[in-house]
Order: sequence, then structure tokens, then C-alpha cells
Amino acid sequence: MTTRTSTLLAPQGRWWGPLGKDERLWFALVVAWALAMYVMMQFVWPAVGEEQIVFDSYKVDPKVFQQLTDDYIAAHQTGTLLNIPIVDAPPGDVYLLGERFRFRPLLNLKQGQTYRFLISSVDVQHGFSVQPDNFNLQVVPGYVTAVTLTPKEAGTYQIVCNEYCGPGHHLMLGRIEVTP
Amino acid sequence: MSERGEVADERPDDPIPWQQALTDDVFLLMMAGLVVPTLFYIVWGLLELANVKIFTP
Amino acid sequence: MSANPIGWDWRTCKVTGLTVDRSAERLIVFNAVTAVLYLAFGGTLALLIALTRWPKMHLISNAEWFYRLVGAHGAAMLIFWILFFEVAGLLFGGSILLSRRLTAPKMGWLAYVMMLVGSLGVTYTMLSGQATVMFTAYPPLKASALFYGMMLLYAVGALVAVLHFLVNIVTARLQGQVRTLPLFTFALLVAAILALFTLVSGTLAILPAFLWRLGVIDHVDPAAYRLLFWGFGHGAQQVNLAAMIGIWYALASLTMGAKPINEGLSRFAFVLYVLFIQLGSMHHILVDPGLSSWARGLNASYFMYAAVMGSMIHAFTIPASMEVAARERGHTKGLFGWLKSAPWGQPAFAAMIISFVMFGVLGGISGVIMGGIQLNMIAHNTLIVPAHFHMTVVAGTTLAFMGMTYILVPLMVRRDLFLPGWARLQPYLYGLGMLLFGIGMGLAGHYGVPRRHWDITFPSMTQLSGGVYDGANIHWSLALMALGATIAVTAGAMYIVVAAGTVFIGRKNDVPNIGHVEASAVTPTDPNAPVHHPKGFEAPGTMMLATGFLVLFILLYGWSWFELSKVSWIIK
Repeated sequence: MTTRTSTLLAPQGRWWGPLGKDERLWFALVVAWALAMYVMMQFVWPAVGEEQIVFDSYKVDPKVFQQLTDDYIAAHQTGTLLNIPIVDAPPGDVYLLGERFRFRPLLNLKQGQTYRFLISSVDVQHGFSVQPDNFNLQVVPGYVTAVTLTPKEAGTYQIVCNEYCGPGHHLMLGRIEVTP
Repeated sequence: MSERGEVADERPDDPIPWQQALTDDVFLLMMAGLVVPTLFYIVWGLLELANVKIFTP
Repeated sequence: MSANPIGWDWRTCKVTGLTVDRSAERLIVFNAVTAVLYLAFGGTLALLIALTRWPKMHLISNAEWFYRLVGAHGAAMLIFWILFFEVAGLLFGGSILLSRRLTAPKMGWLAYVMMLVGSLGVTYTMLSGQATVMFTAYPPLKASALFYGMMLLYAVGALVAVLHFLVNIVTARLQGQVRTLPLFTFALLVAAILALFTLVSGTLAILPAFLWRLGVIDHVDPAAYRLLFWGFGHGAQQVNLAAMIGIWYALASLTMGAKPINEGLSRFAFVLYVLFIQLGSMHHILVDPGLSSWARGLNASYFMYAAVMGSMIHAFTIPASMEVAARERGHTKGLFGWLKSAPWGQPAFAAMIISFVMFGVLGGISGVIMGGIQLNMIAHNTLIVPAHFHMTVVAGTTLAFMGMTYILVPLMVRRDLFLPGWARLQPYLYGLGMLLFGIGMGLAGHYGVPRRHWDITFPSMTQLSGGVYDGANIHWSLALMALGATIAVTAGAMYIVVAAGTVFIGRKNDVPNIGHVEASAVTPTDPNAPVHHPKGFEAPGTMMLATGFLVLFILLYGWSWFELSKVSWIIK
């Protein structure tokens, strides 16, 4: 058996030795717990959970994405609020653009319908934070996050920008209305 | 950890187990600490970013 | 100890018997004092920011200034205070603790000057409005070229300091002065190795941004920047982790006479950090576009769990070694008699144990949970994130550093600890403040409150905001956060009074009053003394406490998945 040395002194000679009873038990518990977390994340949740994070990513020229959003709004706009267009979104692709300092357009969705959100930014990075449910995605200019979303419950959801984007960051909002 | 279950007589001239020699090797640790994250984090990450497809509606 | 050295300026420490290189001592004092000045500056900003984030008070009425100060607070605390202090630690571990002189003191001064100028430059650009881009400076958000230049100068200075330490360690090994490093120095070596990768990644992130602002290149890929920046931004926190754990071990030896129950196991846990912990930085980009789920999941979670195992090993071996040491001294009553016998009135011990518990229970568990790829969705960029890292870097690292200085600063300047009564109270008050702060901020984040946000009441936008953050639960949480911050900043100020008072006006004393220090911590004992192994568990009390910790971990982990399942959207 090896000796024990203060942590401030250099151990002499041979110090590598077998684990004692305490360490063996704890080490086994720790390995088991790390494996359990692995199994939960890799197998259990993908099988049972409804909230996955397997979205697709694309590169895009921010100006092109802005044009696509403008076209999308022109095709489906039903009103305006605080100068932001409101859109009745048909199931399928939904364009959402972050720009300093708003999310455009405001969206009206139907409960239980499935939408493929295409989210990007025209200027700097933003945060796509859906409240009060509190799920969050990063919005990066030059990249599109393509995520499939299905609202299970009707109601009003705020989109709060939670990535600092400049002096008006605290004014940046969007909205999703889900009707039955 | 150690496969050596036997109890060694404690003398400074005992042969040093290879595990002990490895953790005492400053250069090896330095190399590992640079190479592993450079490959898995930086190189893999940048390669994936370089291969993101262009968006088409 | 070594024979009287010739040709360099040295003294013998009357308390520890170590041979102290005076040039190392001067460098350490300069780095440590600079660190504490940044702590004072960053702490002042912390109070202003916390009192602004409590909507009832909303102290700073100018949004632009609020964002400037959040950026400067992050840089001062996360980088400058911590790194200057760590450089002081590296100098200590690389020379004084090994009773050898610095191989190249000029390298140490070069590093210090570069870091000082760089840090002042960064602070200046942030306060003057040239760099209101937060500590992260994500492009295409723009700061002045000077900001990036100063960041680079600081990073290169830090790199020189780390290389200086490695030069010292390598020469000590090559000259045969040491074969196996003391565990504390080994922890610093691991910290230095982690710092190497960190600074390389940071330079790869910031150099292109610098060139972009100089007009040399016209574009920086924001996703690549995020990847590389976090290799630095979080990697730097892993440097803190390794240094802090080294300090926990050191203080356990100094205050309790602890000796690691298995030297190899403790070192193996550090090697897991060297191999795997930097990969965990990918948890910053779990909800970013760009990388495949494979790259994100494998790095941030699976590889990371290997490093988490390292942390959980330390979580056991540190208290177990204290328990064994106390039991050997005769404190064998029941499961926790050893704990009762601990020197709770010794500020270094109190700081260490509070840092250890708060880091592990609040910072560690929250970090592992948020690093899960799916769970990250309900945490990303909410106040849970700063709540997590205030538990690790402030309640954990900062408090551990404070504890170390309660012993090292009096020894170094050979003066009595100033206001020892304040020092005894300070760790408890600081811990209480950070506990309230962490719970308040964490709950607010759990309710969805964003980080880095000047005004969550959206007064001019009520038609859109719908009073999203008006709930009483949110306001109570943020009030608790503000209260905790006030207490913690007060205790931080007490620390600065004690530390500065000791350095400048403490009573001169070659054997300063640092409280009881176990002689066995610094005096070699008989290497042939056999280790006595009892039949049952050696550290049954620690086994009980550690199992309790694991149960709490499992409960919080399960609860987090339950919270994720309550999101009323199907997300694919």
C-alpha cells in the first residue's frame, strides 16, 4: 500500500496504488450515474419526449432571407400592430425574421397544426425565446434555423429577444397567437 | 484504476507503475490537452460549419 | 528543503520553512493586488446591475450605460480578476512551493505589463462606448478595432504568463528538483494546460474580428466566431475550475491536515479534465444553427460526462481526506463528529467549505443539467445561465481564492491579518448573499426572464408584451436576487478591506496570525509510515454526504426533464 502525502508536498517514490473500499463504491456510483444520463438523453427522451432538438440548418445571404420574408408577408398579411405586419400562417413553411429591434411578422397559428419555422436575422444575432413557455433558440445572421413546431395549446405567446443586439434590445418582441 | 491488486512493499526504489509515469509526464499532458480539444472541438466544429448547405425555399 | 541558494534574492519563510524567491514574491503581490482592484471595480458594477434588474428599483435609468456596465462587469470579473489572481497562483506554485527560483522573472513582468495594458484598454473601450458589445462581442455586432486589439494584447500576455509557468515546471523536472509535482501544483499545471487551449481558441476567434474591424477582411462568420469564442469563454472557466479544486485540496491540507485518500484517483480525475472538459464548451451552441446534433451532443454531453466524473471524484475525495485526517486525530464520534471538529472559525476553512458546497450543489448540478442538449432549450440565454456561472465563478472560484489569500497574503507580506474578526465573518456572509442571489436569479430564469436585458417591463410596448414578466413570482425572485447581491457585495467589500489592509497597514510580523495551520501540510512526514485501513469504510460520513448529493442531483435532473415536458409545443 502506498503512503499518503499532503497536497502541498511532492509525493515520493511510488504513489499509484489500488482503490480502497470507499473509492471503489463511489467510483461505481459515479460511472453508473454518467451512463444513466447518457441513456436518458440518447435513447429515453428521443423515444418519449415531444421536445427534441434535431432542427436543420442552412446558410443564407441575409438580404435573400429578408426578401423571402417580405414575399411571405405580402402573400399572407392580414393586419399590422405597432407597424409590424400580422400574418395568418397556413400550415407549412413560416418565415420569421429578427431585425433590430423586432421580430417580423407577428404570427397567427392554429392549434394542432404543424409549421416549419424558418428563422434568421438580417443584421446581428438575436434570441428566439418563446414565453411564457420558455423555450429558446439562437438566431444567427447568415444561417437559417429550420425547426418544426406544433402548438398544443391555444393562447398568446410572446417572442422575447434574449440575445443582446444593441441599444434597443429591451424593446425587441414578437408574438404568436394560437387559436383553436 | 490499477489492475495491480497486490500490496507492494513501500520503498523509494520500487518500480513506478506506468499510470504514475504517465501523469508525471508534463509534455504528454500538454500534448493531450491541446490535441484532443483541437480535433474534437475546433476542427470538427469548423468542418461541420463549412459543410452547411445553402438555403433554398 | 534546498540548501542555501547562491546568487539569487531569497528568504526562508518562518512559518512554512519554504525558500522564497523574492522576485517571485514581488510579481505575485503585483498580480494579486491588480486582481483585487478589478474585483473591487467589478463588484461595484455588480451591485449597480443587480439593482437595475430588480424592476421595482431599476437603478440605472440609461439603457446604453446599463449595457456598457454589464459588458465591463463581465470583463473585469470573468477575465481580469480571475486571471490576474491565477497568474499569482501559477507563480506561487511554480516557484515558492517548490522552493526554487523563477527561471525567467522577466517573462513574468512582460506578461504582467501586457495583461495590465490590455485589461485597461478593454475596460476603457467598454466604458467609453466604443465597445458596447458585452463580454462576448458576437459579430456582426461592432466594437472599435482598439477593443479587439486590447483583447488580443491581454490574451497574448496571459499566454506568456502560462508559458512562464510551464517553463518553470519543465526546468524543475529537467533539473531533477521534483519528479512528481505536489497535487496542488499538479492542479495548477492542469489549469495551465487548459489555459493554453483556451487562449489559442480565443485568439482564433478575436484575431479575425480585429482584422474585420481594421478593414483587412470584410466578413466574420458569426457561427464560427461563437464556436471559437466559447472555446475561450468557457474554457477559461475550466481553468478556474482546475485552479479552484487545487485550492480546495491545498486548504484541506492546511486547515485539516488532509492527505488525498488515493493520490492516483485524484490525479486521474484531473487527467479527465485535460482530455475532456474543453469539449463541454459546445454547450453554448446547443441551440445554434450550424452544427449537427451529433457534434453538439457528443461534445457537450457524452464527452463532458467524463469530465463530470472527474468533478464527482473530487467531490468525494476532498471531504473524505479531511474526514480521514480528523478521525486519525481522534475525532471518531459517529458519522459527523469529524465535521464538528473542523475549524469553522478559521476564515480559510470556512471559505473553502462554502465554496465547495455551493459550487458542487448549485453550480455543478445546474451546469450538467443545462449542458444536456434537449434541456438546454429551456435554459439558453435566460437568467438561469448567469445564475449557474455566478454559483461556479463567484460562490465557487472567487470564494476559494479569497480563502487562499487569508493564509497566503499574511505570509507573503509578513504582516498580521487585518481585522481578523471581519475575516471570520466574511465567508459566511458572502456565502449567504450568493445563496439568495443564486436562488433568486435561477428562479427568475426558470420563469423565462432573459439575461442581459435592461427593462423586462417593456413600458412602451405593452400591446405586444402582454405583461409577460409581470408575475409576482418573477418580481419576488428578482427582489431576492437584488437582496442577495447587496449582501454579497457588502461581504466582498469586507474582503477587500481585509486584504488591502493586510498588505498595506497590517502589523509587521514574521510569524503572522493566520490561525491554526496543520504542520503536516508543509512538513514531510515519514514516507515509510504505513496507511492504516479500517475494516469498514474509511470515510463513512463523507459517503453519506456524497450519496445525499447524488440523490439531490438525480432529483433535480428528473425535475428538469419534467419541466421540459411541460412546454406546450411539439418541437422537432
